[in-house]
Amino acid sequence: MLIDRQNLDGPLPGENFLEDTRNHPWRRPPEYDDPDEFMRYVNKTFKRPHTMAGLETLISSGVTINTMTDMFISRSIMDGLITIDFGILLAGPTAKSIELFCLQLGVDYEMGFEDTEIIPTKEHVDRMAKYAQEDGMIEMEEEDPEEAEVEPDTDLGLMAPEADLLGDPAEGDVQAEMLGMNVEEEAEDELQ
Amino acid sequence: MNLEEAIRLSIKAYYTGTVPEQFMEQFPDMKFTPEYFANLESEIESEMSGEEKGERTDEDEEELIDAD
Repeated sequence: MLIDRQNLDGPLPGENFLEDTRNHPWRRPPEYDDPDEFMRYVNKTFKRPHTMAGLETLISSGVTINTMTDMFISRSIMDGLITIDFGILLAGPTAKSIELFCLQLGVDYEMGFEDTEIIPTKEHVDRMAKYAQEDGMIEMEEEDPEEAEVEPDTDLGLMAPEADLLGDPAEGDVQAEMLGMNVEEEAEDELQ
Repeated sequence: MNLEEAIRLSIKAYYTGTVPEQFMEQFPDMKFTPEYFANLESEIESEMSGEEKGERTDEDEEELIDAD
């Protein structure tokens, strides 16, 4: 087995056997393994006065039912009340319960389904283009490495001219114009 | 996909009527079914007048998005 000797912070082989497997709540068997029991727990929790007040405040301030459910399910998983699979399966009934509580409290609410839309990132677009290319839907233009412009790899120092000024010196006429010497002045000089 | 996305997809599937069949087979005597919540919602709406009960505010926007 190849061991990265540079990474001294990595886990030691067998280190997992030194830790108590009951250290964290999510490592123990869940408290609720029946959906009805967990839903009773949900109802009992949200019927508490301070929880109800918190729900009303959060929903009134624009927090969606989806976000509330996500917070509640995630906390239940972290506390070891339910497993991750159970949490995902019971997310729908939990959201419906929270919605009905909002209905009873008289709070206008948002479900927040629009948040599930995938925001296209550069990686996402590249991946989709790759899939389309594999399917033969589009032909990608591959950049020719020989045609790519190679920037001059010169380090000219602090007082070096800017990149667009690099190259051959300008013609004599251009330099004269740049110095403020126009043609008329040159003609006058010749007459004198 | 992370846990947050999975939870959101699960909620959306529940609201669109998709029920995990094997889960329902595993718990055939489950009380809190979608039908139970539908009956409870209709009971709450019948008990409360229109101004008292809360309303969903983003439903119209979603319908417009679906129509597009």
